[in-house]
Amino acid sequence: MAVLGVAFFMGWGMGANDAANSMATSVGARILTLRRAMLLLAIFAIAGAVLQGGYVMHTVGEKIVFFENENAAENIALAENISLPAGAKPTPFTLVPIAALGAILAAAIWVIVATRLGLPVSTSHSIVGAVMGAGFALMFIGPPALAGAGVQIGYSKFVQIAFSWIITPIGAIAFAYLIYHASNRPLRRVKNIALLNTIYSTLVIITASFMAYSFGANDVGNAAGVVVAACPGADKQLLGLFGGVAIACGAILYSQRVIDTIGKRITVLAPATAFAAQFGAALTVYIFTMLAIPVSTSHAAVGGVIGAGLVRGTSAVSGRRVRWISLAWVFTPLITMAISFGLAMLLTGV
Amino acid sequence: MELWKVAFLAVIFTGLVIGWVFGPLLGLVVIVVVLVLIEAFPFRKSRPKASKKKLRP
Repeated sequence: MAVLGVAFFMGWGMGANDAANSMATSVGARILTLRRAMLLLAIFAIAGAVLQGGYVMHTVGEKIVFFENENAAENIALAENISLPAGAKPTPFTLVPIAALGAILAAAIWVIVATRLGLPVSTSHSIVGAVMGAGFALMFIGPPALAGAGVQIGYSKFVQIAFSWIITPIGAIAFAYLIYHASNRPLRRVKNIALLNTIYSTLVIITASFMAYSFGANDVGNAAGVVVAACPGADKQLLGLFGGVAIACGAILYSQRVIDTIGKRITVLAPATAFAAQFGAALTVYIFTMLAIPVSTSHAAVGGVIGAGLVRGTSAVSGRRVRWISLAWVFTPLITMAISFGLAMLLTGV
Repeated sequence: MELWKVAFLAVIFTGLVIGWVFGPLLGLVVIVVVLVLIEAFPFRKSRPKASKKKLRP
């Protein structure tokens, strides 16, 4: 229950920080009001979380930290009277759920601190770093009972995820740039300016909803993945609903500040560029969701905005702001790894 | 806090409870349908009735 409570807190933090990525371009371009943006976000993020959130939950919960010897792990679970649903495999966090609590708490603390500072940091970076930190704590100085099953860190999976973190902003930049040029050519033939703006505004709303869906499907795994690790066999759709509701709450109550940072301060967006930015970002996140990889919607959104901003030349993009955000991205997994390692040690009493 | 935020949160949490009891897909449907209805038919303040008192010259 404690893990579930902190997962909700984490989801709330994601909603406050990352939900802005889905709607910032639309609100920044004054196509949607904050209220309507939050309505679309709540509907589509929860839908994405329920319908396709299970992919990333599986990766975060069961692919980053796991047991080398699953049979030995099942015997340890039996010896400790931990009942598992049929077919469910225990993870190190199933046997030491307090470490899962430390991991998700570490990620949540950092996301909330970053949100207070107005930085659109990645919850994906935060949670992957935190899960690895707790995994290291269990592997090196964890309870002796786990030693028989061999706690393992999925280094190859981590490399795959880290590589996707590099690809995400680059992909979003490229998609946004290409989408802008591909859509601009046929739409330039429309001579009626009012009609053109209506077309672009409709496209922006559709792609913002797609982005919210992709965001829900990808990022809910960050909040609920650790719950899956602690309680293998849990209903992933129900966890998706739980995580989606947490995200929607955070977005409704606390996301205005980051919306401001992304939508207005990095580069000012017209409807045409907002559409390209949004669609490029949404497409990138959705592709990685289908690959079950937790990527940063912050990376994708900022990449999309930069890609669209590049259409007007590099001077349209605020370099100082982008550098500051990039630094926060790089240090996020390291910071959460350290916090989580410390918390896991503290909570397990090592 | 604005009224729309309170309304959205109430709908979302009701959907969560329904999803918990009757299944997550039903919870999702309830959230979507009720939020769309709220936006389609927003609550409006009733107009104040015109005063019967005559205005002073």
